[in-house]
Amino acid sequence: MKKNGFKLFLTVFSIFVFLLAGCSSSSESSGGSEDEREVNILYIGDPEFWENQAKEFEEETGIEVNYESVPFGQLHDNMFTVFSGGSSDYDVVHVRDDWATEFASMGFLEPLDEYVTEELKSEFPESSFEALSHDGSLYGFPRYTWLWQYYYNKDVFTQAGIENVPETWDELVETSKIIQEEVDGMYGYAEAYGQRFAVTPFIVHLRAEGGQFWDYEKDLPKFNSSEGVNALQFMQDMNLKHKVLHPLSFEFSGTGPLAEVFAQGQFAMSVATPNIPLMSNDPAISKVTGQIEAALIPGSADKSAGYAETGGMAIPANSKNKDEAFEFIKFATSAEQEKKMALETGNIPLNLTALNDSEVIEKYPHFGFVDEQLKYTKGLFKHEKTTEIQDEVARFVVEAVNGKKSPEDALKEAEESVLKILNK
Amino acid sequence: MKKLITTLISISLIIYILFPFFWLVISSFKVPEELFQKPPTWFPEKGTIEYYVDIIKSEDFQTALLNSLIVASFSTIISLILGTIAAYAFARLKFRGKNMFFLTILCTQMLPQMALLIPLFVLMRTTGLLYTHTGLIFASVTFSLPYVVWMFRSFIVSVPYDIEEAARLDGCTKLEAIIKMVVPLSLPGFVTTGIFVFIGAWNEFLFASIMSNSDTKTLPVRIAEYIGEERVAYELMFPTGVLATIPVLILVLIFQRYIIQGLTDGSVK
Amino acid sequence: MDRKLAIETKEVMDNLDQKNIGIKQKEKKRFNLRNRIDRLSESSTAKLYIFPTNAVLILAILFPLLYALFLSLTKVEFAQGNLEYTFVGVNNFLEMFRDPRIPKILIQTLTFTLISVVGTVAIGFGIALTIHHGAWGAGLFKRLFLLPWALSNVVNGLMWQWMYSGNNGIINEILSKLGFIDGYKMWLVEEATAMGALIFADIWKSTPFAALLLLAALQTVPKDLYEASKVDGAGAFTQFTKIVLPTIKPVILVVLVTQTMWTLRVFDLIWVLTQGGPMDSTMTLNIYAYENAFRSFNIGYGSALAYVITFITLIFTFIYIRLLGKEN
Repeated sequence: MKKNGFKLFLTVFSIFVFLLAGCSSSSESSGGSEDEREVNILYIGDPEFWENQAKEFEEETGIEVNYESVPFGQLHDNMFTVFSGGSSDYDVVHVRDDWATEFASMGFLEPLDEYVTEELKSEFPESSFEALSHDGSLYGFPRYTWLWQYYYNKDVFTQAGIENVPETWDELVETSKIIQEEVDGMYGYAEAYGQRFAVTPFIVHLRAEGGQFWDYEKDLPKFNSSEGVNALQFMQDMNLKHKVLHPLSFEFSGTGPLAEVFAQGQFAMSVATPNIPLMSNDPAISKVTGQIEAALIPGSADKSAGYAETGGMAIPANSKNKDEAFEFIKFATSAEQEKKMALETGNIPLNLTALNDSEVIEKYPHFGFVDEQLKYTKGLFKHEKTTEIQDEVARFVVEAVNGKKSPEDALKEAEESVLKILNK
Repeated sequence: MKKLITTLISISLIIYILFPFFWLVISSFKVPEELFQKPPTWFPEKGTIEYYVDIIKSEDFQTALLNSLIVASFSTIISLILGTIAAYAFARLKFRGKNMFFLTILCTQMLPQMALLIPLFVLMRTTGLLYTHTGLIFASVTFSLPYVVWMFRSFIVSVPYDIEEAARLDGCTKLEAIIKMVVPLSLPGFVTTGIFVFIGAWNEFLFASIMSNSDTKTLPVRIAEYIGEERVAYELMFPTGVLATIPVLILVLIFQRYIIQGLTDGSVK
Repeated sequence: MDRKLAIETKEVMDNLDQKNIGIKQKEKKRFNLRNRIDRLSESSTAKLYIFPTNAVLILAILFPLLYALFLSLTKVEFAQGNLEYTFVGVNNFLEMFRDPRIPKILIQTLTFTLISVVGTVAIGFGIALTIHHGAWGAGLFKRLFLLPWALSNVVNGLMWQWMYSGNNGIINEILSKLGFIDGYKMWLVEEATAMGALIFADIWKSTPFAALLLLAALQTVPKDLYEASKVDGAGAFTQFTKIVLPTIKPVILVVLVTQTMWTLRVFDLIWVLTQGGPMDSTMTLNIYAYENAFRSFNIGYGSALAYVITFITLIFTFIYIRLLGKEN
């Protein structure tokens, strides 16, 4: 046996194997043949509802559906890489307010104004379209809202002898102190002050004080104001002066981890996303099932302050199946599908018919406040450089809340930093 | 006395290495409710294997497992074949620009992965290899090849040239000398390098997440999906993580004996 | 692997040659590839050996490498869904000097790398020696020490996050039960402890590989060297420093270089555990580069940072080579 013979054999074998591997796996889908219509959707795989919905669409319309799921944490970065790489692989993608603005400003998304009829528009609240628009055009079609609400544990309230739900932030602090005195080991309040997330609760407080995060007309930051300082000072006080803030708040990188701990009954109140009722009422992980109720977010200067993320679907500009894509969007946002979505995933539907459906309200009583809360709610901070700006401001917020910087300094430096980003 | 110290050191090292894995396995049998208990329980009070069973039965997991096997195995075979041959050339033969070239090969591995993300994605796109097994294997090979050359070369260097010369003097051709002398002696190095490549390809995450779709998704990407929009599904992630490690463990256990018992006496004479 | 085998080989050759006598001389020369390749000059043989590897490397790595270099010299903007490149020369690199976050990040990167690498090699040595000299538990250890290496990065990151949790992390539980700390600490959120926690986890993940290489190297040290030195009255420590270390220098070099390379490129672990926080106290160059490229969309600056990491790695490599005095 000669080595060269063996080597030759190996080379041939490797090439053969290469080819085999290439043929056996699926190749990327091209535009699709003339007869078969198809649509390629990119979203998450968990919960299963989303994928099942896509299958239902395929059965009903005969349009072939290719559903791709990625880990949610990778969704944004994946889309960015894929778009930058010039890919036309996807026809329907998921966007939030800020992603829609980001990607639209880079020319990655297709404007949807032509597809959306007046009739279609009337089924959804006006503000939800605003949230997904950029520069006067609509780039995302709204599907659900991830609305922040004020949640409290009514059993704990009873235990501490509290009868009135706090309506202002000062009242909330008082309530917390009473709870911490009356109930052993219970903290009054918590927020999510994770490294990159902290800007979100700050915006809530800022709005409660009557301030604004951004001046959209001049495209300048507006948070470094007296309202901003008040808000940040209040947050710092909750932590250091009144000591009603649960220390784990700094570990909460988002409202998910916060809700997990809330479901363990470690603190009594929070202002956060629907994660809270979802997890608190899940008997597999919760110790406080049935004890959580919602109310209007406390206010300060204003009666209430709100924050909501609008989740929707968009069509990439390079998509080769735009018509099919919009058909899917219409399907998924119909009253029937939205109702199913609400019942199965707990997301708050934006389709008004579904939102007011009796079955839905029965299952999710806290939806009852959605209407009113929406009145005081402004959407996500939207900007082309939203991620960068939010990451940056969040750092300073954390420094202020745990006392490393004064609120004035923190906001001043944050503003300087953001201005630099804008000039880049 | 000396024995006591070495024993203590040994025990501490063992604990350091094994404890996190022990904790992972323990946690993988807990139900979500118990996972969140504070303080944590040392042994599952309500232990269950239902999550393990669910996962093993799920098609997603099986597909991901198969994909990982395909990508890792082929990457390893191809990298080893190409790399060890080249390693021999660098170790034994003289040619112009050898050192420079070797350094370049090494430099390619010093660039952080994220810098190559978009360029490699574009490359995969234009060659039509995106989302295919071949594409993933190709990407894996390009990361592993320089290491194979670099690592295996040092193993060959440690085999003295005299052995080959002795064989040649006895009438072997160069190639036969290599097969009969060098190969057996450097086999442990070959195995080590092979295992290294396999594990690297098996665990690779960043590129796999970009360059695979549902059909070709590998295990690490599947596991990352448990980090959901709302919560991290620990009760699913821990068992899957443990399961994903088992094939690698089996491989390591099989070949470990080979490496360690391979060289007994100083056969390097 | 000795004379016996060589003799056997020769016998086989002789037999083959006997069989070849029947074939015409010309044909024998033409078809005998074996001799052909053997006669080629060393240079050509080398080229034959390394050609396939070259092809793959040039195509798949050189191209992205150069493209990434190109990116680092440009400013990338997005308009109408297309990327617009504006050549800015070394501006991206100069930007680093103006960036106020860089000094701290640089120091942190070096701290993380140095402590991690030293720790990895030290503990790796510990493991290798323990197994090689058969200390208590070596048999068990031998089979299990590669476990951390076998674990996927994603699972590894989440596992450590789980253990470090300020809510119900097992590390907190153990330390507080043993009386080392008063209450549960949030290791990953406090500036004072975040870096240490990261290094601890990183060493854990890296040390098996170092141990593996060192173990293989230890086993190539000829036993008679030990014997000879014992006769000369050398104790264990002297044996280690004067015999073992010099013999396995090439492998130590490999370990140092690869560990440094990888530690400078650590991403998943830091991203999952701290994302560079709290307040930049665990921010390394690599994380910063990723952040710039994929979250701030400054692809040019991110690529430039990535190249700086490469330069740093090269510098370390040269330092190691100098220190250990071995040829390339």
